[in-house]
Amino acid sequence: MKVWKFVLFFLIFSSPILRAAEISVNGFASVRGGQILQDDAHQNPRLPDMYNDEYFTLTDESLFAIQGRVDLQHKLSATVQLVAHGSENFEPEVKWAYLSYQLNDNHALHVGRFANPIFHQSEYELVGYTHNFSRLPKSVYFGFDFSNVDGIKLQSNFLIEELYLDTHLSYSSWQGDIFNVSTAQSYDSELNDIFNFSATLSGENWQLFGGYLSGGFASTEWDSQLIFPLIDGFNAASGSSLSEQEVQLIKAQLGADDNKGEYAYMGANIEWAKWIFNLEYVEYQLKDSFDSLNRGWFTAVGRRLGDFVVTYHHEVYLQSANGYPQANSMQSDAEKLITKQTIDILNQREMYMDVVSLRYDFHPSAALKADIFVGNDKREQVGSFVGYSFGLDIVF
Amino acid sequence: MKQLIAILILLSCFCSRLYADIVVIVHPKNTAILDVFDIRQLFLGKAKSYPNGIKAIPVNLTSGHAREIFNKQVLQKSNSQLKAYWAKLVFTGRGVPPAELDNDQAVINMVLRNQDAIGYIDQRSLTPEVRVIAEFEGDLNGR
Repeated sequence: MKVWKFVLFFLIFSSPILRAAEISVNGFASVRGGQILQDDAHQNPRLPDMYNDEYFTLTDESLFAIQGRVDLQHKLSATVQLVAHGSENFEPEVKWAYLSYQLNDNHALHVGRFANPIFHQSEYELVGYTHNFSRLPKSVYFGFDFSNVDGIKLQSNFLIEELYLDTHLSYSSWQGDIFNVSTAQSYDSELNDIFNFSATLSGENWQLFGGYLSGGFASTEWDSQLIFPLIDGFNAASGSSLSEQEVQLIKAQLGADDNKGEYAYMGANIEWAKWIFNLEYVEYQLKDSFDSLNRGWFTAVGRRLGDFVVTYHHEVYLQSANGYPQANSMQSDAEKLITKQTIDILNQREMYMDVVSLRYDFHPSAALKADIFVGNDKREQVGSFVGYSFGLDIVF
Repeated sequence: MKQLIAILILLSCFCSRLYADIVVIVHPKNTAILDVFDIRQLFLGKAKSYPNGIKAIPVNLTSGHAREIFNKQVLQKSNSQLKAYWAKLVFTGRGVPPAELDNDQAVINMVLRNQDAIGYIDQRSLTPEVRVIAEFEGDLNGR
């Protein structure tokens, strides 16, 4: 592990300069091993950061993180978070670095790099201790590359009689690589003018939540290295004599660059006696492009049994071409065919998983977890799959 | 008869060990009137101030029976649920948990030093200098 960044972190947060300030250091870690058991005739479903090789591994889902917060007095504070993923050779990376100003009891302003709450649990997606699943359902928590953004956000909370309302409003941007499942490659991309609003309304034993995000997507690599070569390839293979103008029309219709991405979610959590119910539904799409509507959801029921929690959840991910609306403006059958072929190859998957998870709180700051999952990926080369994992989540 | 009295005394001692009360205390000049919901909101970071608008400074005990009773009776969460709850807030920048003190005397001292502080202690540690604003009964055997 590249520990020097963690050492530097400790040195900074224990330095004499900061000694007068109020400092808190927290952290979390997960050590989890597992495997997807797939026969030779079928491909691994290639779930993000999760057992893409055929062997048992402790690397994919393990991570260590440390967060330092310095109270600079007069309602101002600074927060830095370092995270080292096993899947990235435990190379520590600055995930968050932001300044906060507490406007009053109800409102706080944050400026810098912070977590992007794409969906309800995205902000603490990596903190395994906070939930009862072995991992958050992959159909929704897909490991989006733009999970941390640079910008400004307003966090607010309101106590209304016996209800508690928590809201998040942010404006941000992001630059980096976005991974494409179909090609298993990353492409240089940007998301600009990201507007994000989310709200959670809580009662004594329940929560209702929802959120919306939109951002302008920019990437010439997606077009020039992925989408356009596919269109040219299908055109050449079809043997049709489409004019350059017709090919350009298809490219304009399916290109990703300079389009708007939209993400939305809603759901509920309920705790009743020792029963726990969770539901979250999400949908997202890069509008006016090759990207068809993505939908994901999970329903979970859990039961507390002393220091144990047993949870069953069913999760679904669907990306449906839904009649290929992108082909509506095409004149010829050849244009429509190439459009549909390109969309089909870039659409990701239709996947279902049933998962039974067990959590055991054996220590005040640590939980042992294990799960068994059975899935079905509708791509013919993948089909059904089975897997398991076990591990340890801690917070401090 | 003597045997019966001895058994009753033994039983009463045993019963007194089954239950322990905790008291929520503030500075004597703090006139706040709080019910269990108000106290829960303060200790969960959902409310930051007393009903009169003055900022509240909740203090927790690090561990022990009083803390377990408080978690169970007032916050209605197990230790691990509470840890997970605060982890969500800490790692989203939404809040930090109340400061923790080692024992009842430290909580009393804190409350006496700071008019805005609010804490809880085992009733047996109660001293007349502090003001009690709530009392909760806890079943230690139910831990």
